[in-house]
Amino acid sequence: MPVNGLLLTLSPDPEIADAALARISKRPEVSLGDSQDRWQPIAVDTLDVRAAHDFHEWLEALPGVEHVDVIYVGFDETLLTETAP
Amino acid sequence: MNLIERRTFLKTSALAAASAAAAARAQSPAPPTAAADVLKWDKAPCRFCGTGCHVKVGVKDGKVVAIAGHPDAAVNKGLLCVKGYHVGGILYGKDRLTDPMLRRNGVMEKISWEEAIDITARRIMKNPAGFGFYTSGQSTIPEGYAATKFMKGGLSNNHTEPNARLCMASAVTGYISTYGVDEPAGCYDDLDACNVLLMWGNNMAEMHPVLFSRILDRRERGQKVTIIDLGTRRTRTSEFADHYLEFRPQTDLAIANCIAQQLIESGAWNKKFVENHCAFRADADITKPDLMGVAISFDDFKNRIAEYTPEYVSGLSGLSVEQLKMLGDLFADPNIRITSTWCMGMNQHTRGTAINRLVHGIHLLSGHFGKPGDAPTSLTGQPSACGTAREVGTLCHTLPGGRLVAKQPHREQCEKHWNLPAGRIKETPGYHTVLLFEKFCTPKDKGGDIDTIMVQVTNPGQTLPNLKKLYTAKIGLEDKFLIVSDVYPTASTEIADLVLPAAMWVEKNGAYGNSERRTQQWFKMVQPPGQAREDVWMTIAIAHRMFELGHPGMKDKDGKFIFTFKDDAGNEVPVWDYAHFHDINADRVLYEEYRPLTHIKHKHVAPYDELVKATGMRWPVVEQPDGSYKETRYRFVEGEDPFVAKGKGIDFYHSTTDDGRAQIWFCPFERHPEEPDTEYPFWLCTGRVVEHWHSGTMTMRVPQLRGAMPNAYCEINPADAAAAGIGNGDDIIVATRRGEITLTAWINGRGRPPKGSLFVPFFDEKRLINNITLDAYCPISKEPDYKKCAARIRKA
Repeated sequence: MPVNGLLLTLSPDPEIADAALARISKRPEVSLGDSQDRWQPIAVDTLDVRAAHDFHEWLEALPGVEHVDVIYVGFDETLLTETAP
Repeated sequence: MNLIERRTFLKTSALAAASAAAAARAQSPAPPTAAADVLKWDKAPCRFCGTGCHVKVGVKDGKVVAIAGHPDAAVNKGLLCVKGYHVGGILYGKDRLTDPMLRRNGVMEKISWEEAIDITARRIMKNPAGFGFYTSGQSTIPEGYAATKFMKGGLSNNHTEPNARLCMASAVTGYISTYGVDEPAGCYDDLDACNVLLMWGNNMAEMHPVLFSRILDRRERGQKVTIIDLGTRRTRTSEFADHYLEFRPQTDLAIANCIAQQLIESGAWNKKFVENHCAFRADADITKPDLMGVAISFDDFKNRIAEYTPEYVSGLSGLSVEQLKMLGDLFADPNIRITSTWCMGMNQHTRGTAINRLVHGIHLLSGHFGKPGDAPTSLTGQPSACGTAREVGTLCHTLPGGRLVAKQPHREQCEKHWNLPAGRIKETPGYHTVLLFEKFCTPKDKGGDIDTIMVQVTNPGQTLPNLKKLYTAKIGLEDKFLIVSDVYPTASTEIADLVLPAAMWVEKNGAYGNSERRTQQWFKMVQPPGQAREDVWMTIAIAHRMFELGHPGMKDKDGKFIFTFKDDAGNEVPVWDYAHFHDINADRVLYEEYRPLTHIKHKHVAPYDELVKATGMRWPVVEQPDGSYKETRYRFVEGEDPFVAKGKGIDFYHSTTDDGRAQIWFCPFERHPEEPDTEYPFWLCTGRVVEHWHSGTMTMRVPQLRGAMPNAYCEINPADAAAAGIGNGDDIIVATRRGEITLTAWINGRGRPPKGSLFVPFFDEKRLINNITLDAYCPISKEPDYKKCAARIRKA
């Protein structure tokens, strides 16, 4: 169950940025922070790595989101048990 | 704390970190920090590349459970790349090495640390001159310093090398032969000030993504920055470039000369800068190039460079005349700032020293030097290739602080500092990396005079070129003994005789030095697994066992052990006994012993206690009248570099000609020793991918990274694939004169090589591309060329 902190760079067009933010805020896995100009901090809590990856891709494809930076990654101990093949 | 509370706290921490990054981006005051935090946070540089990003490491119940970009770090300003934010995961692969293992009758058996140290010490005692110590640009500064002192000051043996020979040696020889001293004059601040970023064979978007993001961030703010990707294949970097200039491999030499030719021809070279601060130089005999060459006149330089016209170089390089003129015009413009960057594309080159010299030369000739944004800067691939490998003297010809074993005063200075008898340090350089392993893999009766090698913090079984010759040829040879300290099973441990389990990253104290002269420090935060121990302890314990066994070199001139550790009260602490290793901070003792040695070349590294307070400081770091310490952004520049006297403007105070001048070299274009031909018609280039770091030992244990890029592949141009009947995803055989391997074809994938060339990453230990790479190297730097050799393909 990864917990990630992301920084979104939103469109300079306020209308497009607001529309993106409205869609993001409806996602149950998201907690929104206070925006600073075009930069929107969010925390994302997903069930597994695949869901985190899918959500990241959804964000990157979302109109109004120009860039997604990962700022924080919380590890779930159950994931950290890999051997190289 | 129950699960829900814990996750709430983790989300609070995540949001706080992202909010701090947002404030930094918006250049606003940082928001209030989150309330109570379930995690204990501390700082550390990232474990991976040479960028030197700083991370915040969150620890709970003795485990690393969260990573955040450090918002106060000047390098990354809170950002990390895909590898960086998964760096915590590298500690917890389930196949960590946890016990010393000795090969007996072909089977690895657990042994005690006492036995492992004793076996190693006795093995070295048996033939001290036949021992080689192979360390790393990932070794910490204290680890590298201890290895240097043990080998050169203790064993009188210069067969010590870092793996940085394979990645940065050409940058070193380029800096030294140009400025008389190693490492960049500029720094990352140049990326924030340049008008033009010219990347020479440098895929910064994937290899140094956080640095590249600084440029993209400027673009997002509406600033105009022209990005030029001078490369041999399209990469992610090319997608962001204003100009992608695709040249034929090896012809970067001709392109650099062509820029100089245009500057001279048009009269646009900076006459005042050159007259005041530069001299000209060339090899005395191009068939026998050396580090220092001979002085030549400006007229001589002009005559030699004259043939490199845009028309001539266009024919060699494949760039158009217009593209070459564009480069010439940019350097001719004194009103813009140009930053050149490079990494392995220029360094792993059979003329690596030459191309490094030439890029410095065009910056000097044009005067694009010494102002913010005007700099030629090499980027390192490892986190401490600079801080450790290049600064503490782990190369076979060097001593700490930029000293050379060949120079008597330098040997005397180290002998005095280490309280050793005069003459202890040997004056002859040891074997460079390729030669060291060649000697190890050669039977003793055929000249293979290296019989024991100890490897720390690196994986030569995957990263040496031409592995069948330089690594696996050891198998079956009598009386050859390989000791490997590592954190996971690797291609190196596979054939080792003794395997030592190592602590890694925040399981130990450490200090690194990044690409921009920034020294960074961290403290141990979690326990290593099982019996894994610190590499620096291993070195000291082996040395002390040899002292006990009577090796004369392990005594100083007063008969005492060469390593001394004292607590604050002045009492000696026996750190070689692991029960006492953590009684004091051995890193701090070693670092502070090393620090005065950095002064001779004006590389004054910061005091350890200053580094504790910071996210790194760029040397030279000099104490101010008020007792504070100030770092240096730009070397050799008045007002920035504390060692440039007032009124000097620019002063290359370590000039090879002792007159404050830098050298502008002429180096001709020379063809590669293994160009494609009818039998092997392709250029084969190797390198990294964004998800994995070097040999993948760490990143392949992180599920997210391994899942994103699980296997090596071969990039092929669609036309070449069609001609060979190869489809996307087909298994293909890639063959060179050294053998062949099977890989999966990738057509129009992430990277897009031009017709007639291939690219294969080297992270995958199941598909060892270095079994077939070339071991030819630059005659000056001795760095091999992993970027070019001739190959052929066929469908499997």
